Formats: sequence, structure tokens, C-alpha cells
Amino acid sequence: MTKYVLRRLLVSIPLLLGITIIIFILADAMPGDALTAMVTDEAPIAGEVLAERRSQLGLDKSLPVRYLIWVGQLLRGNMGYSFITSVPIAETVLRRIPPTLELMGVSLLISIIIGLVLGILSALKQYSVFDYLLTVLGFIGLSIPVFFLGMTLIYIFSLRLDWLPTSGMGTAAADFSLADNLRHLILPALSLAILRTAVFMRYTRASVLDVLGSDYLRTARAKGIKERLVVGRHALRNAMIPIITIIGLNLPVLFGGAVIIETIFQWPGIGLLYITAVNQRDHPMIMGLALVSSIVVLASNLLTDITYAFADPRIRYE
Amino acid sequence: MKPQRTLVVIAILALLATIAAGCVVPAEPQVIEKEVVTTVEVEVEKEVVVTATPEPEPEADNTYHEGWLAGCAADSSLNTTCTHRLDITVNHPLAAITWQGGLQPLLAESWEMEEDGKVWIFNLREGVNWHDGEPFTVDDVVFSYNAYANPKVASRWAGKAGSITGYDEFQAGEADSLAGVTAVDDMTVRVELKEPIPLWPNLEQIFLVVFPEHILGDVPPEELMGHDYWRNRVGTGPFKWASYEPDQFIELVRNEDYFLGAPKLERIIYHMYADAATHVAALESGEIDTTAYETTLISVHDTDRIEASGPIDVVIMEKGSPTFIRVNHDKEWGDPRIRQAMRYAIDVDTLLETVYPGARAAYTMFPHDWAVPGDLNTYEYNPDKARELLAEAGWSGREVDFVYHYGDQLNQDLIVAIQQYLADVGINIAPRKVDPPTIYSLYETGDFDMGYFALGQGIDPATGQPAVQCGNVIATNYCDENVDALFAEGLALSDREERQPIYQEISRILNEDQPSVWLWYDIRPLGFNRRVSGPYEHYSEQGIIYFNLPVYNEIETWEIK
Amino acid sequence: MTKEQQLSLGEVRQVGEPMEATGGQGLWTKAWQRFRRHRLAMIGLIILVIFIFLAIFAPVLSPHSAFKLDLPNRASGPSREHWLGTDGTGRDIFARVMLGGRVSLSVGLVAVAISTTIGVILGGIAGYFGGRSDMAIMRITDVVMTFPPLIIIITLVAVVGPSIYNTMFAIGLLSWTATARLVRGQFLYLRSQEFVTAARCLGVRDSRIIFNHILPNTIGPVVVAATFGVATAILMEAGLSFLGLGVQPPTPSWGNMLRDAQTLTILETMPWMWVPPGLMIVLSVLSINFIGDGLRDALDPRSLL
Repeated sequence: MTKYVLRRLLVSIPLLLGITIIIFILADAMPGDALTAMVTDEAPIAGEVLAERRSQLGLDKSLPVRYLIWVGQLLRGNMGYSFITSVPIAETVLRRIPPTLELMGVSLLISIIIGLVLGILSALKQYSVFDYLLTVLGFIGLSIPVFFLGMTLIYIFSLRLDWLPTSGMGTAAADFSLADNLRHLILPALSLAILRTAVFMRYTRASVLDVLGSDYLRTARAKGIKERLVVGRHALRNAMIPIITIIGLNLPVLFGGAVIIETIFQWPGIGLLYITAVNQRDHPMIMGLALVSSIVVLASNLLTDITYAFADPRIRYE
Repeated sequence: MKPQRTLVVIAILALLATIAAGCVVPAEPQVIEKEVVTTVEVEVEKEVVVTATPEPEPEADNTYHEGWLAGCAADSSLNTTCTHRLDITVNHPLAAITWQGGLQPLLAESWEMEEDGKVWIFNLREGVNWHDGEPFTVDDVVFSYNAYANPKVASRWAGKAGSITGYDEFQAGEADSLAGVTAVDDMTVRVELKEPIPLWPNLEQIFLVVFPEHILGDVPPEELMGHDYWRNRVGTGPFKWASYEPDQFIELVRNEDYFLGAPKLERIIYHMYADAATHVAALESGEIDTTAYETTLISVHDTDRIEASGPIDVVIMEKGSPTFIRVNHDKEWGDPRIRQAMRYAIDVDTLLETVYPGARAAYTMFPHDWAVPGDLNTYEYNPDKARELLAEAGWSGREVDFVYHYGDQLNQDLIVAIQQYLADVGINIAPRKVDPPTIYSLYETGDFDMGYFALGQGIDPATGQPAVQCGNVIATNYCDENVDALFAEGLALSDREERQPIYQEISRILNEDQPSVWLWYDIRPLGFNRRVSGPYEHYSEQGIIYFNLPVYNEIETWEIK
Repeated sequence: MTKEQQLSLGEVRQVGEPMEATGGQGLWTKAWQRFRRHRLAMIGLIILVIFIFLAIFAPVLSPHSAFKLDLPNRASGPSREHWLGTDGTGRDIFARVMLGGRVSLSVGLVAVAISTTIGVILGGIAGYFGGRSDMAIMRITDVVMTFPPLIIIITLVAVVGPSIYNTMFAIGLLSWTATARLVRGQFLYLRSQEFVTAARCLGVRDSRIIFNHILPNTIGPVVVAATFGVATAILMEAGLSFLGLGVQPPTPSWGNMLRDAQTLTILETMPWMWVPPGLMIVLSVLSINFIGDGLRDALDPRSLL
């Protein structure tokens, strides 16, 4: 196992390099650059000004040279400076991680817990009214586009009922209070959670159902073991594998944020940062975010794979 | 059993830990406690009326909330297109345009014109201090104007200093400062222009904001625009920078020592929004008192509902811009007949009546009544004539790439309608929403076909010139030297009576030629909460939006009712 | 337990039994019979077939065109003239909803077809053969997973233009990783089961083992994943419309019609503009998922004998 983990870690390095090269090329392929992002009709920037600024930002150099400069900077621990604000990338990204984790983490937690519980219950009571009801509700939750859900929640809870604020992470310019922060968290987290709960519920249900029909369970029942133990000890454990996969698949999202929800609710997370960077062609920011998210994805995939091996000792890695 | 269980428990704990980390370690807003050296109260000419408030208001209520666009962040004045409110609340130009279209002396108390407008002497206001206590002097003005013109700073507004002597040499690298701006003494600055422009203070000076030399003076020019100063400004205005939380808000507090009198408002908070619907929802829920004017947020169809939703008044402002279809004159539409055909093909009157009530049809570029003669061709809806003209011009019927960047519902509807109308006469456009960086790159590569744009010219028709100027990239290869000459003439005069025939002549040429297909003059509703007195009154009087520059509207007199 | 529950739990099963049907009815006929018994799945199938029918015959079914403007009657509610009312430029909503079905359904189905195919193939190879191929494929999966979908789609859209085909392609090419990892997980698990060991001992060819033994056991989660995929693809198209990257006007899609509701005025006072497309999305996703459920039950190899 240790050898496997070490090999994975070693492979990650060239992998990361490859990923960053591809993203660098793609970011460059987008039409326009940070300079054209700034041009408006009322302020058409003179060609000389554009040229000067481009050379200041290093945009006049060729693609491979720029990439090597970026890697060189990175190896010295510097992620560069935003083309737009000149603020160090690392500083900006780090500031956005806590709000992202808060939003994604809370919504993920809600959806995992509720999804698992409802999924298991649904599987155990297959074909009952309860099962049907949950199925339908789950799918409805799954079918609503998230931007629509967000807007509707704002409409209901902020405008009509006036219970919750429309947006932001906390009351502006007020001292931080957990209660205030949570009040602002409810709507965006709920929007995200509603969608994911249904996903977890369905996967859990399907997985548990698959397992419930197994031989060894029949054997266990035949042996006279109580149903509770049959389900709890034997069935659920084996049903966990696809569920672990799904949780594992969702881990990167913790750091990636949700662009649409963050836009609507003005939640200062990574998602909002990302789309702003893309719209403004802020290459250092795009690369910085891509790097961070790549590391997170690779790490969480590794974690999931290791968990597989622990959960089922028959799974071997050569 | 145990290892798996433990692992699951560990995983859940890890998850909880990360979330806890997110909650417990909030990003601290950059609150900078400023040491304000309290100076002795300076006698102010203007009477500071101390109004006894009727009942004791809690301090927190005396805060005014404005909406702000998330993409604007805390930009540098040298570079911004949407942070100009900070250039009137925190920083100042020498004199700013007022909401009534006049000129308010701010950092300059008065000025004299010499040589018919070739030389300007500005007498700076005495006794003004920066928010950190340092005195405001002529060095700040010279430094700021030089910064605008410095090619290494690469400011987008450099062109506003373009009429000053020495600008070209500075830009070309032959000089290392702006020769035309000199300090006469500690409180007087002399600006010499290349040519007499009697309206220079009203048309170009108003864009040039002053920032502190004692803070930024030693910063290398390449780093000036990105300097931390812009995220924590020190200015001379009625409000001081208090805190800034990226993508959340900017907070300003009252400057007691403001030279026009201490403001009545205690605080101003600019709330940032990336999503238009959320921005408007915030107005309706009372979280903000005023919506941003830099972009379309409230559609003309929303105004009734918004006014009914709370103590909100809506003012429908003229946007001061025509919306038009810009075409690439290097392609088929270099032929004016095709452009005229396009205008005939679109039933602007019906469109405005149904989809865009309140907007007026445009037949030429200028939104100002005085610049537009009454005898223009109104291009009555006539698809047959359009087809005729197209046939004459030999239009091939190819599919046309049509770009636009406005995302709001109103413009989407208008574009859909335009597409139908043009398709009816044989011009098949494929509308494509692109982001701004893409559009400019289309100009650069020459791939641009046509697109849907608007150009704000509220201040004066002279500001519309770039769109039809020979050699200017946004004129997309249109060139008429006659028009350029007329514009130059108009700029050299100051009297509206004298300028009027010139601009009317330009109007006629543009109306006939349709270098861009002028469609309509936009209107933009703004929302105001009645709990604040000041914004609604001033914006109503202003009537037309001035883009890209600070507008003086007596914000020091605004108050919460 | 009811008879149904007993059957689904696999009352009758023998170890090592080859999975092809033994005499009499074929595998698929049996599956179809089981499927038919699943009430929700049948409802789902009927609804989907109706939607597909509507989508295909959209232009014929409504007296109005989905593109013709009727400015004087813009934004009016349902009437005899316009069954579901009109939108901001007077276009008939009913016609647009049906035409929008073409776009949304095809984006969903095609994108998922692409992603499921790639995912099953790659995940299967990785899970079954293990070792180097597993390593290689999983690292490729990692790489694709790390690509921020937004950048890829924006770049693609910017370079080749926003068209429905590019959208399908982009979504498909980005979504196969989940299926691949799922399939790999299942293959890893099943590979170590007794019946596979037995089959190998008997000398059964690898491909036979995969197709006849392992694959049927994988179908459950894969089908569930695929049905989610269709739903996700349809919703992704809607999300892209929100960001302005999806199907461009004037072509209707349920996603970009729903985007109209982003103004509070329309949300509150003109429900006919957004309820129909919203409802269509919900019903499509619902029925596709029910079908998925039914397929999983029907193809459960343990109950085919």
C-alpha cells in the first residue's frame, strides 16, 4: 500500500505540470487578453498604451517563455500578481478559501446526512408510499436549475417574508458575528444542498438495494440473525463503496465553489473569483486557481482510492 | 469492522473540521485605523448649519447604502470605468461637473483663462488637508496630471490630458514629464494647452483626479495603477476610506474637516453585486438605498412593480447614449446603401412603443437636442426600400456575425426583434453574446462584422467623436475628414450658439451616411429609497447620466430622514 | 415480504451460472417484462416518448412559429390565440417550449451517450485489468477532472462559437470521469468475486467474462449514473444559458427560456413565461430517472431466472 501511495505522489508532479501547461494554453487561446478586457467604447485605449501595458505584464513574450517564467516564479513560492488588481495571487486565493469551505462544506454535509438517511430508509421500504414520495420529491429537487432555485429562494425569503438577507457573507461593515454569518449562509447553502441531497439519496438507495439482494444476506437471515443486524452490519458496509465514490467525487467541489450560486448570492468564494478572472482574462489568477484546484482534485482522488482499499480488503492495488 | 468505521468517522471529522475552519476564521475586513491629526477648526466661508435632529437617531442608522458593480472592485482612478463615485466622495478633481451640468470648484477655488483658452491658471483652495493630515499642495496636482500622461503608467484616461502641451513628447518618450503643467507657486498651477480650448475645464479637466504625491510620489510608474493605495485611499473629499472587503463592500466614514462642510451622513457603504437581479432585490428589501447607475439594472417594465414594492421612487434617466449597430467599414457595409437599408428595415417606432416605452428614436449620433436639427431623415419603416437598396448594393445574403455583450432581458428582446426585421429583408444575422475582451480582439484582428453597442456622451457632443474618427479603432475603419474637421472646429469654440450649427451639420452628415446604424436613445431607470433625502432630488434634476467621471451632487448635504 | 420484494431480492440464484438466458425467452424479453411491471418506469417512459414526439413534430403541432414576433401582443398571458401566452417579443410560448424540447433533450441524451460510452470503456479497462492500465487511465481521469469546466466551455464557445453541438460535445467530454470512476470501482469489486474466479478457472475468455458476467452487474449503478447524467446535462445547458454561454437566442431551449425568469417582475407577474419550461425540465428529468430505476430493476441479473 505504501509503495502504491508513494508511486501516486510521484506521478502527481508531472501530472500537475501537464495540467498547468494545458490550462495555460487554453487560457491563452481565449480571444482577447487582460488589456482588451478593459476597453470600453467611452474609453477606447490608444494602441501605444495597450502595447506599453502588455509589455509591463509580460504579455508580449511568447507562450512557452511566459509559461516558464510562471513555473520559475512558482518554484520560488510566488504565484504571481493579478493583471487587474496587482494584488498577489496567493493572498487573494487564500482569503477566498474559508468562505468557500464554509458554503460548500455546510451544504455538502447537509446533503450527505439527509441523503444517506433518506436513501437507506427508502431502500429498506422499497415500493412503499414513503419510497415513492421520497423518489418524486428527490427528483423534483434534482431537476430545478440552480440559478432558478437561488432566485426563487431570495424572492420568497428575502422579499416576501423578509426573514433573511438577499446576499453577501455578513452585514456589511459590521463586526463579525456567527449568527449574522449563518443567517447569510442559509439561502445559498440550501440552494446547493437541495440538489445534492437528491443525488446522495438516489445513489444510496440504489446501492443499498443492490446489496440487499445478495446471497450472504440470505444466509445471514437464514442463520436467524436479526434483520437490524443483517442490514446494519452486513448490508450497509458493502453498500458504501459507490457512496464513498460519490462523496469522493464531491470533495474537489468543496474547494471549487459554485460559480452560479456565488454570483447570485454575492458569496466571496473561489467560484466567483474564477469567473471574474476568466471574464477579465486575468491569466495569473486563472493559473493560480487552476493549480490549487488541480492539487485538491488529485489529493481527493488519492484519498478516495485509499479509502476503497480499507473499506474492502479484497480490493488490491498491484 | 473497526478499520472501516474508524475511517468513516475520521472522514466525517475531517469534513467537520474543514467546515469549522471556514466558520471560525473569517476573512477579516481590512480595517485600517487611521491616525487623523486633528487640526484646529478652519473657518469655513460656507455656513455649517447644525441642524438639531428631531429625535435622537441611533448612530448606525445614519448610514447611506449604495449599490456597486462587483466587477469594479476598488479600481484606480487612472484606470477605472465604474469607480468614479469614489472620485467625488474620497478624491477630487480640481473642479467637477455638477449634476446640473455646470462646474463646481473643488480643489481649485477659481481659475483664469488666458490667450482665449490656451493657458489656464488654477488657484488652489487653501487650507485643504488630505485625510491623513498632510496639506494639499500644488505638487499633488502636478504629480497627478503627470501620472495620467505618463506612458509608463499606461492609464486608459491618458487621452484626457492629451490636449496639454508636451503630452506627445512625454508619450513618445522624448520627455520625462508633462511640460504643460507647471507650479507657479504653492497654491497655483498653470496648464498650457496645445491649442485654445475654451471649454477645456468642462470637457477634459473634469476627468483628471488628484491623488497624493506624498504617498504615491516615489512609486515606480508601472506600479502606480496597481498600488495598494487604491484599496485604502487617502483623499480630500467629504468621506474617508474606512474599510474594504473584496467582492463585498467598501465603507466610507464622514470627514469632519471637509472644506465644504462636514457631511450630514455618518457613513456610506457601497455594496457589491455581480448579479443584476440580486442587486434589484437588495433595493426592494431595503438593503441598499440606491442602485448603481453604471449599468442597466431596472428595466422600464419593472418600474411600476418596484415602486409599488416599498418606499421607493424610480427616476427614469436619459442614458445620454444612442444604441447603434456598429459595422466594419472594411467589409460589405462600407457601402452606405447597405447601412441605410438596415435602418429602413427596422421598425424602430413599433419596437420602442412595445418593447422599450420611453426611449426615443435616434436618427443620428447626438442625444442632445440642441445638436440635432429638425430636418433629418427619419428612415420610416420601409422593408421594400430596404430590399431595393440591398439589391442595388449587390448584397450577397451571407450569414453575418453579430456580436453583443449586454445580458439584460430588454436588450435580448431588442436584439431578437432586430434579427427578425433584418432577416425579413434578407440580412441573416447570427447573434452571438460575447464578453468584452472578445469584442476588442475582434477589432484588432479585423474579424468584426457588426455588433450592438451604445456610447455614452452625456456631457457634450464632442465626446462622441471617437466613434466616427478617422483612425480610431472603435470607428471600425470609417473615415470622413469633413466630420473630423467639424469636430475640431466645435471644440475650439465655447459659446453654444456658435457651436450649434457645427454639431447640427455633423448630425446631418451622420444621418445621411449612417456610419453606424443609429437606433434609439436609451433610458435608464434608477431606484431610490425614500428614507434618504438627496440622491433622488439630485438625480431627478440631473436627468441624464454622465459616465466615466465624478459628478458633484452635494453629497455632503444628503441625509437620512 | 410481498412477492415483488421477494423476486427483486433474488430468490433463485446459483453460483457460477452463466448469465445468458437458458432456453425459452431471451434476456432482453425477460428484462422488458420486468420493466413493464415497474409502474413509475412505465409512466416515465410514456412521458418521455410524448416529449420526444412533441419535440420532433414541434413545428407542425402549433399554429404559431416559435420565431415570429408579435410585438403588440408581447408579454400577454395565455389566451385562445396563444395557448401559453407570449414572451417579451410576442413569440408564442407553446411553440417555443416544444421546439426548446428538441434542444434540451438532444443535449441531454447526446452528451450522456458520449460520456457514458467513454466512461464505461475506460473505467472497465482500468477496473478489470488493473495494474498499469489502471494507473494510466486513472491519471488521465484525474487530469480531465481537474480541468475547470467553465474555462473549457468558455474557450470552446469563444473559439468555435456557441452552438448546440459544441455544447453537447463539451458537456459530454467533460462528464465521463464520474462514470469512469464508478465503473472502475464496481469492476474492482466484482473482479474479486467468486464467480469471476470460477469463470477464469474454467478458462472463459476475458471478453466473455466482462460482457456476460461483470457488465450486467455493473449496469445498475451505471444506468443510475447515466440517468443523472441526462438530468445534469439538461441542467448544465440551463446554467450555461444563465451565464450567456448556452444556446443563443433566438433558438429556444428550456434553459434559456427559464433564464427569462431572472427578472423579478417576470418571476412574480408573468409565470406563463417560466413555468412551462421549468415544468418540462422537471418532468423530463423525473421521467428519465424513473426509466433509469426501472432499467436497473429490470436488468438485475439476479432476478432473470
